[in-house]
Amino acid sequence: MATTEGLQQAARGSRWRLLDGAGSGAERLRLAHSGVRKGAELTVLSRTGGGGGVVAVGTYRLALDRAGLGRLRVEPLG
Amino acid sequence: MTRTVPAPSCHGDAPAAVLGGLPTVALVGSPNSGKSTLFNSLTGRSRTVGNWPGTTVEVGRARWQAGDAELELLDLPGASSLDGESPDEQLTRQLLRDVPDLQRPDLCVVVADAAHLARGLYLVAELREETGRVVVALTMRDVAASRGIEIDVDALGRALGATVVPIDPRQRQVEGLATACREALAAPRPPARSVSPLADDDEFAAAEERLSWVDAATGTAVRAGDGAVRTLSDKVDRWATSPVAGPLLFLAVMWAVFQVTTTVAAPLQNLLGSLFSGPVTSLVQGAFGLVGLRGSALDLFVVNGLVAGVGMLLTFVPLMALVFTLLALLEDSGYMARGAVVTDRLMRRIGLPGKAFLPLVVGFGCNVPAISATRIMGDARHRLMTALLVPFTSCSARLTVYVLLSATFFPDHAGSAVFVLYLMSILVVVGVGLGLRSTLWRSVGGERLVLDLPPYQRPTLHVTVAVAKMRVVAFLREATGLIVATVAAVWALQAVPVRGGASFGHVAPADSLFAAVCRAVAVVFAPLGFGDWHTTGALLTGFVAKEAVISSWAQTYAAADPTAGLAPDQLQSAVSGAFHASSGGATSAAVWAFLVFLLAYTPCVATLGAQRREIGLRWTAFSVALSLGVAYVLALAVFQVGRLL
Repeated sequence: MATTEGLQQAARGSRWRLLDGAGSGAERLRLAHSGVRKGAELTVLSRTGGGGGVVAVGTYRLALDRAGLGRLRVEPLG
Repeated sequence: MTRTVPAPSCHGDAPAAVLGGLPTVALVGSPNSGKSTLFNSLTGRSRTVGNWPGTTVEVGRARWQAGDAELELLDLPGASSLDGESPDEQLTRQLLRDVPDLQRPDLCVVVADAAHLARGLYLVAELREETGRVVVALTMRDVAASRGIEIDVDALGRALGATVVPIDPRQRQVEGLATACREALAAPRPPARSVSPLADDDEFAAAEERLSWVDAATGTAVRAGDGAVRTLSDKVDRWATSPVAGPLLFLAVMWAVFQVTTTVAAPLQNLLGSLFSGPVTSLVQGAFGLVGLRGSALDLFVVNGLVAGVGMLLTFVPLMALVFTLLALLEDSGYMARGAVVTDRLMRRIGLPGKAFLPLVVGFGCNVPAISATRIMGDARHRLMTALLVPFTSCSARLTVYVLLSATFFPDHAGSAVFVLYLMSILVVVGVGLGLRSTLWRSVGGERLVLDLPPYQRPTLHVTVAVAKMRVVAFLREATGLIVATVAAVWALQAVPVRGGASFGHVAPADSLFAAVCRAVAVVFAPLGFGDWHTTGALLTGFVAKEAVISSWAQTYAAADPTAGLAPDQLQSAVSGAFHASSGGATSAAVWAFLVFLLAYTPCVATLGAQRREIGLRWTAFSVALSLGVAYVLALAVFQVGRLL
């Protein structure tokens, strides 16, 4: 299955599986606490200004900016 | 046993009491898990609560009567783990882990959001690596249930090795927590959970081990719903956080808040004003007449100082109560977190992370807790820059002056005028931020935005009322503390004559020492269109606290006619005349220049105290110079350009 470097272009409603955590250090841990871990399923719920977006991870809802979305290595689901 | 914890902010929280000797229970948990609401519910105290992260940035401390046991309850800053980098997270780690064992709390109550259980339980995994007592308080079960999450509380407790108590502090349903805490405190410390040996410096492996432990615990006790199902919050957020509709909605909401505030509060304000200038003044004067002190220095101080100054200020209580209630509704509903998303791009432009929005929004209520709230940012340069920008956010104390002048000079558009001032405040924050970034902070870069969006919730009456009440009380504390001191100082200076033929306490206001000092300073404000000594006096006293601006006006104009009180319309008329005279007829330009100066210059001495504590004396001095410089330049530009239009 094709992998995608980042969700910055992902359409609203699209679903993805995280192949690798984003960033390093504190940011990676922070995301892991919110369920953004390897294997997690992500759904892009909406797009925000500047290319960011709101992502559903389980019951969490996270707002990420464009750079944050771009660092998520994912593969499409469904 | 006595512990040293930072005292809570003076604006909003009572001073920390010394409660040594009682068993200590610490409330810990992720930001926005409901700790402060629980703290308020258990202790009856009013810490700031809201449905957005970073509400608690200092340690709350109060006595908790847990059934037949008396306990000391601590409300620690929000932390998802003990490895956080921001000062508030470090403070939590310091109090829970870095201090010697004997100084740690006797029991940790981990407040865990049932809808985001894994995050809350990470802290349990960390705490259970040692032998401390832990109780888990499960909040937000209604939200979890709406998302199809079912939790077997007993099974979860067994898996965690800690008692799990479902509670709902927003509805004051906290039964069971006191019993669980008493039982946990009576029991011996539980053994630490077994952890596979890891390399000491392998932070990620340790985190992964804890997350896996949490997964194992929740796997047996939690039936998760389908997270991909769109909730009502998701549907609303599609618009509330969208690139175009989001900012427009944000502006519309803020405009509505100030429009409603000025429209609804005005009649109540007039009523209270008439009460103070009429019956209250007559009553006080009558009382002085009865004891033969009518016309004495004390009579003039009480009537022209306290009744005129503080009384005029108290007329703004309905206004403040209304604006605080509306903002509390927005906070409790969860909308404010969306504001951080909408303004993230703006924050990034000035080199700050979206998180900086939170202290800046707090600053629109009061600058003092806003300065403390900068601690939620991990980067020291971001904290410093935000602490320098907070004084430019238009605090609620300035609102009283905005309303008075808007009602005087723009009676048909008072709400819109106030709204414009708030927009200007935002523009000043952005402008100064850009200026700082292009000069002193060239290398600073914004953190990436990673912000939790809590689900929207119906605001509860008691939470909204508690928050609004706490802020009104803080406002009144200003009125009865700094303001009375300022009124007394102004009165004393007004009582000292600088010309012959008058004695102490019997001098025309224009011939007093206060007027002489203000006249000397007023020269500086002449190019700005408000070089009148009354206006200058109001600005000088406003340096102590912005609430004192109106009391100073009321006091100096009331002293001009010591035989009667000063009704609001009389004060407005006097102020209007002063602006007209000092501006050479360009009244509107002078009023706008004055409002812009007021908006931008140093907010109050309490804010300076908070700044000194957070960023040191040198940067505080820089902040004063910066705000005075910005205020002067902007006001000069407004008046000089405005008079040509």
